[in-house]
Amino acid sequence: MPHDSIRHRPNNAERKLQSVEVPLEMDADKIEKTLGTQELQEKAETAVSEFVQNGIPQAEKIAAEFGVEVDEQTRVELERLNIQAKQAEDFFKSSIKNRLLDVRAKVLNKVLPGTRIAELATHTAEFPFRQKLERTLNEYKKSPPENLEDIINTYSNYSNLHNRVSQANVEFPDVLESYLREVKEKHGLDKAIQDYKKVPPELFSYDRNTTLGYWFVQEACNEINDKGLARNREDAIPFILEKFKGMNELVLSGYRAADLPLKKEDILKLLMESSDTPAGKWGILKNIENISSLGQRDYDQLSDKLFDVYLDLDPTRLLLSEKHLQSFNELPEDVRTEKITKMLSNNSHRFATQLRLIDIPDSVRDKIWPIVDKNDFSFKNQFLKNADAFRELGVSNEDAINTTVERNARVGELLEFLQQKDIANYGFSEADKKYAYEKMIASMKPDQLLRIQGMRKCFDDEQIAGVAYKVLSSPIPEPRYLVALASNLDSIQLNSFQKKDLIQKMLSDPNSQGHLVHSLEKFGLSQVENYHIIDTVAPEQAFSELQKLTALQGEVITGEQKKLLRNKLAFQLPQSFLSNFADFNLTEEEEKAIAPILYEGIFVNLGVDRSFQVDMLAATRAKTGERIPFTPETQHRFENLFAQAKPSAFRKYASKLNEAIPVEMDLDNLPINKTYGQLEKLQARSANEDHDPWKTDLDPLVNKAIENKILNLNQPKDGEILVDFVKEYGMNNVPTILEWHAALERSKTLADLPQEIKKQIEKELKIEIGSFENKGQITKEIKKFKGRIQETLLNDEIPEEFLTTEVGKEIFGMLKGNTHWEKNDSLADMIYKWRSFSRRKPELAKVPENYQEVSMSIPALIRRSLNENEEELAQKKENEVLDNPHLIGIIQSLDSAFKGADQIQSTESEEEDKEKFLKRWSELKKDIIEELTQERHSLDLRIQNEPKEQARIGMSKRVEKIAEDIQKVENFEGSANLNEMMEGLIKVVPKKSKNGEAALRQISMKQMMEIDPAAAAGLKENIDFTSDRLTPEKLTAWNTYLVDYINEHYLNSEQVEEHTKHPAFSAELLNELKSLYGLNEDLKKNLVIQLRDKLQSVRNQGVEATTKTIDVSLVPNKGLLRIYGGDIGDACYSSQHKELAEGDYPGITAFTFVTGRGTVNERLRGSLLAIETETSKGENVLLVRANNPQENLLGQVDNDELIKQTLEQMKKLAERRGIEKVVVPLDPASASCSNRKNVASYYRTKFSDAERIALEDMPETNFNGYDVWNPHGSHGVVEI
Amino acid sequence: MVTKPNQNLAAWNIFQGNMRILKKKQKQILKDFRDRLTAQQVEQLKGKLS
Repeated sequence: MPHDSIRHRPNNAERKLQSVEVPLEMDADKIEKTLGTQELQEKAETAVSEFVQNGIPQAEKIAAEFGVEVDEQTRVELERLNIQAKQAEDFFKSSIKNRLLDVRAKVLNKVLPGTRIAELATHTAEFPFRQKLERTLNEYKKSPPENLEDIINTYSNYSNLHNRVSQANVEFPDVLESYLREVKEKHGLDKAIQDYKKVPPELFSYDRNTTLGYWFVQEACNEINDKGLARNREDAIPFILEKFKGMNELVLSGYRAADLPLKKEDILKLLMESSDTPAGKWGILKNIENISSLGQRDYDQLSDKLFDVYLDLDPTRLLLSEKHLQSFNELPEDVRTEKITKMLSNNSHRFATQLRLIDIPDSVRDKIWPIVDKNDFSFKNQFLKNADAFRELGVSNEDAINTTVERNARVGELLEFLQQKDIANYGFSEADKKYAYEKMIASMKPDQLLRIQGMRKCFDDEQIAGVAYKVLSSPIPEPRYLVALASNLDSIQLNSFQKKDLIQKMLSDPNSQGHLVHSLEKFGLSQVENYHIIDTVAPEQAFSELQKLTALQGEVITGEQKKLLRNKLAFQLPQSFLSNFADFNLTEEEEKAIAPILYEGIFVNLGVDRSFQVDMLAATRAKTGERIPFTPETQHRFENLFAQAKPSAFRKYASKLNEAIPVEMDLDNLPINKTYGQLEKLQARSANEDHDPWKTDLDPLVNKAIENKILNLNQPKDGEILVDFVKEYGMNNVPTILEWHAALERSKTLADLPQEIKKQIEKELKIEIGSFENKGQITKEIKKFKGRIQETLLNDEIPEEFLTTEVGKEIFGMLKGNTHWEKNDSLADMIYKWRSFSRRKPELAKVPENYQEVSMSIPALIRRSLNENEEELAQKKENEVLDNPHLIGIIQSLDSAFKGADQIQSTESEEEDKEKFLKRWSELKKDIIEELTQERHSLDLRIQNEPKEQARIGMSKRVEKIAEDIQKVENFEGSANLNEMMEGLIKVVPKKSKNGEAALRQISMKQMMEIDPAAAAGLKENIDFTSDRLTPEKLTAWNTYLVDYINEHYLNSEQVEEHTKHPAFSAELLNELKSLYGLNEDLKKNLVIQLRDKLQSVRNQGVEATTKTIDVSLVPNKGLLRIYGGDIGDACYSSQHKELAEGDYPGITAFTFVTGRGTVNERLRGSLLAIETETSKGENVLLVRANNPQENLLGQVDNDELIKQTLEQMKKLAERRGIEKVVVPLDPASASCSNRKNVASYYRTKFSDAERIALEDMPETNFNGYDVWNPHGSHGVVEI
Repeated sequence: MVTKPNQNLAAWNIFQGNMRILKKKQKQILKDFRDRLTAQQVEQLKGKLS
């Protein structure tokens, strides 16, 4: 066979290819000759033309033998093969060409500089652009061209070339980006914008613009902010649009990344006016998909522009709109043919195009039809709407067509189909039908119907959805809900656009399909309004947030995220919701609300839905909420499912799941439930979930063990193994040790132990198992190994095992723990850096003299776990406390005053601050006057209806008084001096004016923010001002602010300016303010304080102080534990690994909190930094920073005692070191003093009266970006 | 000097492979065609004979 011999015996050309040396100076033609590619290409051409000759002509010959014509079918089939052969040839040629070009590029690149290549390339040959560009760019990065002209010239050449070669977008190199950054640094943003404008727009791709656009918009925002022109990004929009006029592509591609909340109108305007460059076109394409509320009118407006864009970039879309299809059909035939061929060759567009071919004129279709594989159909194609047309065209895969029609849920088509098929004979059961319709309605695109027909009409009898609805013997939830929605929508206070938007969002979101609708129904329509989805975040966004979380499973979610997500509950996809269920910290109420949709989550999430699809009856019933008996098989699936759930989540929600799932199951007797029950006795759940070992260690450990088939918790025996493991090694995430442990438990004797485990243990622990007598010895070795690593680490040495063994790495990860702030720096890298530093400067790598390990005895707190009744009662009590309308009113007024004051807080110029304040006063004034005017009006009315003369006179007098008051308020101009302002205010505004009180509250809050920003920031950090809901946290935060700050400082009865930080108030004003904040009498009578105390006592139920103490050691470290101190303390300086590993900040020594020192239960429980530095006067001082005992330690011991003793130890250390002063920064939690609230508040209570001390401004006193040296900054230090 | 690995040969082999498959298909189609015509002819002859 000829082809085989070619393969085995290479011909000349092929031999050349195998290894060819190309001289550098060779020109393009010569290279080609040397490589022999011309020869091969000719061979390929010959082969294909022989093939073609062998096809139809051969058939004709055969036909002639029989005296007939070649039939159509044979001819078409052979033609198709010819086309495929031609494709094979093209493909081969293009690979050869690319290869050739690559070689040429390599050759040239060696001998010429990049600019020259670009120039040469444009004039001479084609190049494989991307690779070469990258290579040359790397050179450029080392010495980029310095002026803009050079950059532009160079890349224009590249770009021309690139367009010629690949017709793709040009990747504009980041050289320009760094150039612009530099220009901005040196000459300001405007110059950078000018320079950007000088670059021809066609040089930018959309992606490149995204980076630049992000940067530009971001910089402009910063500038606007610096100048104080706008308070937030929304206000900055007009400035930005003005600034980047004529740079539409840039703004369009960058605004999203830069978080600029452009409105639809802005985007549309930018789109309409964007250029015809590739970036402009991509901008249109990408943005059009992202404007969710685009209406028909907007589409119409953009239609022409879109047509061009689609034609160029994504022709398939032209086939989707009648209008575009019309314009498309007006194009010359060969253009259309070319475009459609292009679509067919594109995998992602192929199916759509095939199906839309029906609507294209015959002349074009006939040309293309032969190359369509008629049985190549996607079942999920959304565009199939006319099955008959396909049948006529000879598509023979009837099943494919029917299935497609069915699945596509074109309701009308399906009905027709069902009627034709004669439903009764087709064998649909009622349940089948119902299920099918549900699927159908869930996946149809109601938004399209809505756009044309409006919501109501959608369900008219003549409409397909309406017909579908009527056909059903019993209504299914979705249509019923839609009908209800249609009639209820008018009663919601939304404008018609919002309504449409809402419906579209609910129904057209392809991610949620019908689930969303279903969920919404469960929530009741009135809830929709409360979630503000229309004005704020689209459900899709909430969904993508969730997806992110799912991807990051195991990462801790911040409080803010939780809040955001919780508010989006109504729009969650149940499956994503379930997998994150435990992370939401739901209230009981919320859990109840969500329970009915939970079971869906279980099914969809883990594949049980397939079992449902088999059992349609069950599925239908499940959706309608009835409880049904399951087959043993399904029951088994459930058990498996539960065994795979996160232990912490399962334990918490097991009973709730039982309620939610549509089957009766005896959860209590499941093996896992027993196992987890035993584990809970060994390791109690911790109150703070973020620090619960169940979550941090057990969840990942068990999940991994199940994944790797090491444990199957459905088996009671495996449950025992897990319990044993926790007994022996603690609840620690060390998967390898668990694997060994399981293997040891399963083998009766040493000899039974699997070989690979044996080998692994020997290798990792560096022991010889051969000499051992029993299994127990191995267990001992493992424990010894673990202990040794910990001991080495705490001795400030680096355990070799961290680098050389897997278990070592695992143990390190376990000891270090996860933090919110983690950066993924390689451990090996850090160790290498630290070792090389230690070699260079051994004296700095050692813990300084007199730093020694100390031990403290701290009283333990015991939190008895509440039983179910107690817990329920506690929750009830808590709700009772919070559900106090009076309290809610007070907190709301405080919230709104704070929010109001915060809005007018300006950072930069005093002038602006003044202006803003006076503007606000004029608004407040209006409110007060309105209130008074209304009172007057109502009095006027009463006078008219009052029969008694005497009363009328009395009321008239009051009217006069009010008129006078109004005049007074009107005349009061206000003052930016807040003391003056308030003193004036209480004189002119009548006492009982509610709006007057609100104004006073807001103004005083503004003053508080100004004079003590740290206290205000502390409050802000603890309160979610975006929500009106009164949470225990909110109450606590306000309580702290009222008691610790307002009462203690701001309204301090002595009114000494040094203490209050404001000029003394008059007695009258002081009294007024005190009563305003409810602080003028016994504090216990203040409702906020009173109820917060009550809440606290409810919450503290079960916490009992004991005489038992816990030993906490403080171990000093310079090495690995200093580098990873931030991780151990869960603090933000974990971002400083590299710097610390390189030996920066020599004055810093880390202390590690350790409990169970020297025992098997030894654990690292937090860290703090002791920094030796100087005051500005040159005195030695010991600065204690980042005092971060872990939350779970704080939950275990008396907090104040721990902090107190720790600081005492620091004082002793200072004494030993001959240092006189010990100082701590006084700032809110999560800044420099500590990331623990309790530590920060301890400092605040104990030291806030102390004087701030200036320190030397040096790296150590600026560690991690906090200027603790600066006594006038927000992180100044005080002596303790 | 640049040494050129034999990647072009891989492309050539792919091309060869593709062509082989196509040739097989072509052969089959022609064979089917011929068989069909032969069968028809036989039928016709049978018809004539009877």
